[in-house]
Amino acid sequence: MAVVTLQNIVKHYESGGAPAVDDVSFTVEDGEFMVLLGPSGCGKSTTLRMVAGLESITSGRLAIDHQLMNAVPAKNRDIAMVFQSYALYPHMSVRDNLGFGLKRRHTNRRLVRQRVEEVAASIGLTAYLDRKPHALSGGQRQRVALGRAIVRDPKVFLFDEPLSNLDAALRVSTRAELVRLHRELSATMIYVTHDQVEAMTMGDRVCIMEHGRVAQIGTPMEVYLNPANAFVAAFLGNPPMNLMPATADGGAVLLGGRRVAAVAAEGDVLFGIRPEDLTPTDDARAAVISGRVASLEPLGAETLIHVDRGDSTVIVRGPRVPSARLDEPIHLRADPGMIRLFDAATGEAIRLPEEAMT
Amino acid sequence: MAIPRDMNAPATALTDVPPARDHANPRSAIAAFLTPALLIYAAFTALPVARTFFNSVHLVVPNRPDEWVGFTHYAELWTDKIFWKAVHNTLTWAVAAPILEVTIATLLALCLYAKVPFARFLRVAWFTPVLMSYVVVGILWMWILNYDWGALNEILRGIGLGGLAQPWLGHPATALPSLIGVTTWMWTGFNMVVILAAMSSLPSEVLEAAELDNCGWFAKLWFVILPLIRPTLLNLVILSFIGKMKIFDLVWVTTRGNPLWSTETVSTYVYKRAFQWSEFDLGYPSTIAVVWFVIVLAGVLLLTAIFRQRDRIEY
Amino acid sequence: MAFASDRTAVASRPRISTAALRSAALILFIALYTAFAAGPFVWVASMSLRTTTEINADHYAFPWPMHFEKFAVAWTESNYDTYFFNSAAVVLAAVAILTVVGGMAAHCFARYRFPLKGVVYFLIFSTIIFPPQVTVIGLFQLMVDYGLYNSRIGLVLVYVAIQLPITIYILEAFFARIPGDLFDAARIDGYSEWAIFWKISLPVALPAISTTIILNTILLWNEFLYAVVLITDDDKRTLPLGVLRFMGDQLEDVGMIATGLMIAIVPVVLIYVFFSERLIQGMTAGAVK
Repeated sequence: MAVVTLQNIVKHYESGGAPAVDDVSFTVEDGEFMVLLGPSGCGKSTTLRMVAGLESITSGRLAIDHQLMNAVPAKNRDIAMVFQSYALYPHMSVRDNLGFGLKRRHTNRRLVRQRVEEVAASIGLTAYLDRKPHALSGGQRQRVALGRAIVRDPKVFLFDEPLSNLDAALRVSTRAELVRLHRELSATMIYVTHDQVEAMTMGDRVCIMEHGRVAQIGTPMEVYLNPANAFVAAFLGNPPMNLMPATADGGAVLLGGRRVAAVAAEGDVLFGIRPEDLTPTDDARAAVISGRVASLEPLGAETLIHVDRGDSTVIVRGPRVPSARLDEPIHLRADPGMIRLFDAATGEAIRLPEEAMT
Repeated sequence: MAIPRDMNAPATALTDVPPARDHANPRSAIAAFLTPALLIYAAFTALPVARTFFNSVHLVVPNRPDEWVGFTHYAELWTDKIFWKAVHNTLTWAVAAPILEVTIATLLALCLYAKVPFARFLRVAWFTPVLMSYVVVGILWMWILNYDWGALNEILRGIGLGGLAQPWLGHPATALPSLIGVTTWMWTGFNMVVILAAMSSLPSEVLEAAELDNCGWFAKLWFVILPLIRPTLLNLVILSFIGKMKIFDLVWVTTRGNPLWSTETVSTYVYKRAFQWSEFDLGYPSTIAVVWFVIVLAGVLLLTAIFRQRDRIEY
Repeated sequence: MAFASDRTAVASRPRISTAALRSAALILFIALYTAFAAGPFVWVASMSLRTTTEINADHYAFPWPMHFEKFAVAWTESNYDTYFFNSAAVVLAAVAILTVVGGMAAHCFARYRFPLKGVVYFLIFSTIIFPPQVTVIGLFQLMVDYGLYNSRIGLVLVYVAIQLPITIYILEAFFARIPGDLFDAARIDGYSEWAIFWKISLPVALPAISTTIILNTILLWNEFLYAVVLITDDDKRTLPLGVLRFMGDQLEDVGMIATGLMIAIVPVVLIYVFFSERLIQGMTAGAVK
C-alpha cells in the first residue's frame, strides 16, 4: 500500500505567530496503524489535515510512497478521511454518499454501484442504502463515514477523532471493528485522537504531540512504560504517573530526605512512579514515600488511594478492599524497576542504570 | 515539476520543495468565484456612484464636453428653496414613519404573541401590503383618499364626521401625512412579523423567571421583552429610515410632489431636475444626490452610534 | 395584554369582567387592523370584476355579476401582454443570474480566506444603504455609454447589481453555517472547487437559495425607479411602468384600471399563497438579527 513520510513539517497560520505544527518528522510504514495523540490544540489534527492536503505545508516535506506531495491537491493524493462530524452529504442518500467519490474517478456506473453495495454489505448498511443521513442513528452515520472511506480503496486512511461523537458502548464496539478492519485491509492508517484508550488499544505505534511538536513516538507499551519526558508521563495513564520534585547529588536521588534511586545526574529532578507500581507497606524504612491517606476512591475493580505527603499528593492503585484507612499514616514501597526520573528543568527523561536501588 | 523519487535522500536544502500552495484557499478558485460579482458591482454600482460624484462638480450637458464648475452647484444648492423643502419633507417622513410603523407593529406583535385565535392567518394577512409595488399601492390609495367616493371620506361621513372629509392628497396640509399613512399601512405588517419572530425566539426561561419575580404583564413587557428585542427594533428603525430616505415611486405615482411642493422628496426632485425639467444638465441633480448621500450616511451612522452607546452603558 | 388574561380569569374571580373587557378590546383592535390591512385588496379585487358603470353607481357593492371578461379585455386592448412578458423575462433572467453570481460570491466569502476579504465585503454590502439617487444619474450616463440604455438586457444587469448585496448577505450567512468538514470531504472525494460549489454548496443551501429567489422575484417584479429611468420604448416597458401608463390612458375608467392592477398583483399573490412562509422569511431576512 503506502508509506507516509513527514520530514520537518512546519505549519504557520500567521507569519510571525507561534507555529501550529513545529518541525514534525515521522514515517508511517506500509500497513501501519499510527495514532497521533495529544491534548486539544497540540497540532495533531493540523498535521493530519496537512497529510490530507486540506492545509498547506509552510515548510518541510510530505511524501506518500516517496513521492513529494506538498503541492499535490487533496483530490490527487489518493487518500480517504473519516471526519469527527462524519461530514456526510446531507442532501444525498447513503448510496450516493458512498458512491460520490467513486463517481468522480470511474465513469462506469455499474461498477460504482457494485462496489458500493459490496462495501455496504461488509459493514451492515445494505438496509439503509436509500436513506438520507438525517434518518440514521449516530452509529449508522459513523459507519457510512467509514464506508465512504473504504469504498474508495485508498492508499492511506486518515481518521480525525472518528469515535468522539459516539456514546461509550458504541465507542468500544466500533474500536474493535476498526482494529478488525485494519487487519483485513492491511492498509496504512493515521488516526488522530485525544483519547489515550483508543491510542493504546488500536495503534501499532503512537505519536504523542505537545504544542505542535512530537513528544515521543513508539509502540503503546513503550510510550507507557518509558515516557521520553515528563509531559508524556503525565499525559498517559489514568490516573497518570505520579511526579514528585526530588534532587540528585551526583550519585543518588533524594526524595524527602530518602535515597530512592541511584543516578549519575545532579540537580533538581522529577521522580516518577505509576500508581500501580506503588504498594503500601508496614515497613516505614523500606518505604519510598510516606504520608497520610487523604481520600479513597473505590472504582469497583480497584481503589485509588490519595496519599497526602505534605507538599504534593500521590495516587496509588490499591486492591478492591484496601487496608488503608482514611486519615491514617501510610508508607509506600516503589517497584524499583519502574522508577522514572526526569530533568526538572527540561522535562527530559534521565536514563537510569539497570540496577536501581531503594 | 520534478518529483524527487527518494525522500530519504539527504535533505540538505529544501529548495526543491515547490513554494507552499494554500490548499484550503486556492487563489484561482477565489478569483473565479468572485470576479463576476465584482465586475457587475464595478460596472453598475461603483462606476455610476463615481460618475455621479464627478458630475456634481461639472456642468454635464449632452453633446458638449463636461465643463468643470467647481463647487458652484453646491453653492446653488445651498440657496435652493425647493431642495430644502424636499429635505424637510423627506426627513419628516423618515423620522415619523419608523416611529409609527415600529410602535404599531410592536402592539400587533404583542397581540399575536398573546396567542389569539387565527394568529397564523393574521400574521400572513397583515404582511400582504408590503408585497405590492408602490405603483399599485399608490393607485389604490389615490382611490381610497379620493374626495367624492374614497373609502376614507365615506367612512368619515358614515360615522357622522363628514365635516372632516377632504381631498387628502390635494391639500398641502394633509398630502404628506396621508402619504406617510400609506407607507405605514404598507410596512407595519412587515415590521410586525420581524418583531414577532424576535419575541418568539426569546428564551422562555427568562419570561418564566420574570413571572416568578411577580411581574405583571406591563412590567414584563417593559422591563423584560422590550429590552431583549431592542436590537431588532433598532434594526427595523434603521431599515425603515433608509427606506423612507429613498422614497420615490409612491410620490411619483400619486402626487409628483404636489401640491405646492408639499410632498416633494429628494428622490423626486433629483428625478425632475435630471430627466424632466428639460434643463439638460446632469451636474446639478448629481450634486443633490451627493449631498443627500452624505446626509443619509450621517443619519445611519448617528442612529447606530446612539444605540451602540446605550448598549455599552447597559453591559 | 392578554398573556396574563387566561390566568387571571381562572385565578381571581372579581377580575373576570376586566379580563373579558380586555380581550374584547383586543379582538376589536385585531379586527379593525385586519380590515385596514386587507380591506383595500378586497375592494380593488371586487372592482376588478365590475364595469365602471356599475362602480360609479356604487363603489362598494358586491361584484355581481362577475365580469371576468374584463381581464381578457385589459390583456388584449392595451399592451399588457407585452408588459407582462417583459417583466417576466427581465425578472427571470435577473433572478437566475443573481442566484448563480450571488451564490458564487457568497460561497467565496463563506469558504475562503483571502487578502482584503473584509474590505471587499464591506464595499459590496455598504451599498445596501446607498440612496438610489446617487447611482441613478451616473448609471443613466454609463448605460448610454455601454449601449445598454433602453435595453432589457441592460435592465437585467442593473437589477442584478441592485439586488446583489442582499443576496450575498443572505446566502453568505447560510453558507457559513454549513460545516467545513463537508467541503473537505468533497475535496478528498476528488472534486474541484467548482464542482463542490455546484454539488455541495448549492444543494445543501437550497432553503436559503429559494428564499433569495422568491425575495428577488418579488422586489424586482415591483421595481419602478430604474425601469422608468432606463426604459423608454413602450414595447420594452415592464409591468409597473405599464400599469402607470395604462392608468394614464384609461384615466377615469376606474373599473378597467382595477382589472389592470389585479393582473399585476395576481402573480405575487400566487407566489404568496404557495410560499408564504418562505416569502416572509426572504423579505425579513435582512431585518432579523
